[in-house]
Amino acid sequence: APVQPLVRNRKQLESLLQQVPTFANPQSRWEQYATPGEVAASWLYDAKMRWNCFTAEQSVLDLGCGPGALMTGCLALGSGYVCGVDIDSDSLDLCRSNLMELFSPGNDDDDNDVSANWDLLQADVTRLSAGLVHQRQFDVVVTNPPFGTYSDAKLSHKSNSNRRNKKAGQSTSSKGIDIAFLEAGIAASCGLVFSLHKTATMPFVMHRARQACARKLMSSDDVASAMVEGRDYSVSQVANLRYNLNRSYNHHLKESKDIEVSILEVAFLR
Amino acid sequence: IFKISNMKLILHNMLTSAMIKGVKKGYPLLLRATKVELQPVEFDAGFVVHMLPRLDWSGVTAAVQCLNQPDLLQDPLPELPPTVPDDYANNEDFLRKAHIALMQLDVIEGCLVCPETGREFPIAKGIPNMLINDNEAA
Repeated sequence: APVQPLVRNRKQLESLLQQVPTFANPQSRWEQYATPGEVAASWLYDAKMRWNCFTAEQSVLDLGCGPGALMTGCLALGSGYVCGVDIDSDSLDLCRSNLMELFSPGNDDDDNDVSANWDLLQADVTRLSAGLVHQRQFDVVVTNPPFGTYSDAKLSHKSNSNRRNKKAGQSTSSKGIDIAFLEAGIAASCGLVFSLHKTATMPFVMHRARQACARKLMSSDDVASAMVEGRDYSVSQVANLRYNLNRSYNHHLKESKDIEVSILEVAFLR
Repeated sequence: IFKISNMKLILHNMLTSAMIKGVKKGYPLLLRATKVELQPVEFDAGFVVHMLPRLDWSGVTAAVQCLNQPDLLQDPLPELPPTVPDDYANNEDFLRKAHIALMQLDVIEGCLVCPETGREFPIAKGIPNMLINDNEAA
């Protein structure tokens, strides 16, 4: 029998994702903030309506999964397999317990037998491409990356060195980390990539996305052929949202703050 | 009811140690499991058929072989052919065995080992830890 999704509509999805317990002590060194339930629900439901993704035959990768709101949504919409990646042990423990709690026997009101197939992986997303055997293994990649707002001077923890990307002998500050997450997602996907970025940065982010797509497809072609946007891939800004970052950690303002974010969608058409 | 399970061999199939300096391929990672359970998961042929072309079948058979240790599992391991049959999309017997291997065997405790350097990556509570130190990075 085919797998039945846990939720049937947007409202059920929103209600479910708003229940996902979030960080008790968000770690500033990872710029941790959980995707609010209503943002995650809107994001994923719209994607599902647009692409009919998150189906039972599809695999999904969540880069920087945190407490697991996006993973929960992808599973609840019926995805065949979801893998969440995060660098932080505490996040992964929380995510694991959230997924087990939300999806444990007895919580399901329906009599439908539903499989929730998921894995968690502790890894540095900026090093992930090197650590995966193939590109293109996942039908969908979703990511709500750190925004890379803070320079190294402000993030002064020694263990921060775990996630510096030492390409070409240079260490990157956390600036540009959202691009690194996006690039890892583009490499890992054979279908779709959805990522969240500050609206103000979107023109730059979309430019980098196009560059990453061009590199990806050309490198796998036997014949050197020009990769055409529109024919081979698309890069679109599909939503603009207001996002409330509450006063989670020290170097935010004392007041809670709204930021404008947008969802980037990359689709590989062939 | 949902079935909860990790680490599945489908994830093992994707992981390499090639982010480590000096490692040429780093695949497949050796699987040293100390706690494994068979978690029955509803068979979905469509998922297996869809995913198979992207998987390395030799990695699957190698992983299952690693689990073939005395006293590790109560249940028998699926017997896998050395290569994917040409008719795999319609071969339910094969798909069911592949599904068990990929989705129903949970490695809860143990480690993954780089085949070139011996570097160990622990698996605890079903979560593999592939973090490396800066001085190991390529």
